[in-house]
Amino acid sequence: MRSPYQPIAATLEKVAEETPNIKTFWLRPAEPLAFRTGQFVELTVPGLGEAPFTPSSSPAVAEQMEVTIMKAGTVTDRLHELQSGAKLGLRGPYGKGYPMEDMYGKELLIMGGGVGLAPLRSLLYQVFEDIDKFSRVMLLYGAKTPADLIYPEQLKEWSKREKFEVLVSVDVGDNGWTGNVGVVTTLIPKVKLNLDKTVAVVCGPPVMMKFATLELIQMGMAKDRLYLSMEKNMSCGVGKCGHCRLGPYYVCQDGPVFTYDKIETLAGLWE
Amino acid sequence: MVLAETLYYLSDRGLVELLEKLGKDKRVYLPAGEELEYHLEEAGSDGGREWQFTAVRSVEPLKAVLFPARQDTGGCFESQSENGKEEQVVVGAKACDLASLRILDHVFVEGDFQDPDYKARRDGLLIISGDCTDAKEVCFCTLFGSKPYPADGYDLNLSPVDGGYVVECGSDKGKKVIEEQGGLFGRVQEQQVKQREENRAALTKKVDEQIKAQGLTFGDKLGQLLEEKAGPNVELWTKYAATCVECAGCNFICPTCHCFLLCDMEEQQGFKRFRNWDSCQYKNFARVAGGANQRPRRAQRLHTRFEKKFKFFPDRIEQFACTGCGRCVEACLGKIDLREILKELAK
Ligand SMILES: Cc1cc2nc3c(=O)[nH]c(=O)nc-3n(C[C@H](O)[C@H](O)[C@H](O)COP(=O)(O)OP(=O)(O)OC[C@H]3O[C@@H](n4cnc5c(N)ncnc54)[C@H](O)[C@@H]3O)c2cc1C
Ligand code: SF4
Ligand code: SF4
Ligand code: FES
Repeated sequence: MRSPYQPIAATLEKVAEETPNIKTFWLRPAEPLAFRTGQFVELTVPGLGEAPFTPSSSPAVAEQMEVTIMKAGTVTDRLHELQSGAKLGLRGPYGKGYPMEDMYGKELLIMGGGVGLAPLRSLLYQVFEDIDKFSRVMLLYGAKTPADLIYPEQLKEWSKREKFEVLVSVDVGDNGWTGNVGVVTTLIPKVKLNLDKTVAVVCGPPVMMKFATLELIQMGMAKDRLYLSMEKNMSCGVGKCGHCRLGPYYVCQDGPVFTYDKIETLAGLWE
Repeated sequence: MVLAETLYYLSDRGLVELLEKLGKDKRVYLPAGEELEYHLEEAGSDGGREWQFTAVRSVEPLKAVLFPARQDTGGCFESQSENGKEEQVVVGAKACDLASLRILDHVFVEGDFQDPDYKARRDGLLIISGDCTDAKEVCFCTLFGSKPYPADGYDLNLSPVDGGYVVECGSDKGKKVIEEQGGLFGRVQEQQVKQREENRAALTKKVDEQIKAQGLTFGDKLGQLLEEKAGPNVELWTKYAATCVECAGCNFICPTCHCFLLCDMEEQQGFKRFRNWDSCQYKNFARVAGGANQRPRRAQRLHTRFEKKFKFFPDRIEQFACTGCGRCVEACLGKIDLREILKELAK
């Protein structure tokens, strides 16, 4: 029996710097690793440990996977020191991911904060594949400063796509910045939302998710059409170790994506 | 009286012989000790451990055999785990430990993923359980409707009667042992079964009276009570968590607590991954990168332990993840008594 705790080998093929503390890693697993957008993997640095990440690449590609990772502690610090050719480990995919079927036919509002755009990029790749099934796609993205924006070239490219509206904001601008300044929620009034037809997907740091959620709900967004990515402490990823429990759920199995109505009353939601 | 076909008689000597035979090719765990303090240890690990029929559960929970505190889950990128393949026998396990298996099996075997190490140990485990013949002050198994003698979950069960045991066979594995060691098992007498029933009824009464005297009487309403009266921030948890020193003893000693952490160790060639017991009472249990923590306060963590046992598991599999064994009450360095908290909830 294959142990669900044992990773398969993966080779780091390329590393690119996105921001001073975020890098994208191209990984080639020893065997193809197919995933659905929104599902996550556990990435092992041999001998050090592992951490959960949601691939930022297209779910249509199983041979190679991209993960965009912010430096945040033991495992991610070491990852940021690695060069192409390094041997890593991968296991997964885990969790439920985004329920695409529930989004078809709707206007899609995607809100990302910081490195939270990484999982959303994989969702966007899926949306490009299924673009016939969406009438409109709005992407609102915010980061601390212009230097903290990830995928800046792609953001420009996406804004030119048909049916797409892309709005970007930074908390604090710099000399060259001519765009929006303010937290990402300040972008909400800049798009004309048809709330009865909209599905919202939010991914970012806890405070950003909290304020985006409260704002959308206050505007009248239906709780069961608001999808949130829950970041909880994880170890096993497969519903055994108990670490990721949020009330009645194991985030690794029942999530990591939840509609707000399922979790709104749970203690520790935003922590 | 019609005697069930699953009942046999085994003499005292017969049992010793049976254990010797089983010990030839299996690892055998036996409880031993005195004054109701029994330790479950490997027979022979201290140069020969004598069989002793113990009156109550052991200090160590049954999970220690199926889900060891620290388990190597395999080496660098190996997909095959060779652990836990050998057959093991546990003798003398009590009803409260058998009840924990429903929880552990659900966690480790059911669902989309199986823990191969647990599964191998579980499949390879022969359980020879025993009736309780006494109760500790901390025992409250009957609170949740169980009895101080095994109802199911065993392969063979021993009920002490004059000169030996009434043996009840509870599984195909148990049947196989009886077939292989046929000579040792005799016909059971009506009188012996009667003695078993009398002992069982007397001890059930004792535990029932004990919990009644302690004011523990609220059946299956606990999950509901916990939901209605005990959010994570209520005063109750702060009061009881005040003396918690975060030793994790309550979790480690509990037969149903299953949380663990995968930890990697560098090896000369690659690495090894260990599955180590972990505790929801540790401050960093739920901490995520950047420092956010669902449960930074001890009161929140005490609440989460109760929520998991009395709400989460009943919602999933209609069983409390507390067997009433009382181990956490004995283990707690902060003298936090789970029964007192339950009582206060029911007030
Ligand atoms: C579903 C999901 C998807 C995610 N996707 C992304 C993503 O796409 N990009 C991204 O940048 N981040 C993502 N994250 C966050 C990412 O997982 C964390 O940043 C990462 O776990 C930090 O690990 P670290 O070891 O660097 O940090 P640390 O702060 O050192 O550890 C973080 C947590 O893990 C525990 N831990 C880590 N290592 C050990 C160890 N060896 N022993 C004991 N405990 C340990 C710590 O106790 C702590 O609770 C995601 C998280 C989740 C849950
Ligand atoms: S919570 Fe305490 S009494 Fe209940 S099963 Fe665990 S150790 Fe025994
Ligand atoms: S045994 Fe007592 S002191 Fe130790 S962690 Fe549990 S509640 Fe706290
Ligand atoms: S990460 Fe282990 S149960 Fe979810």
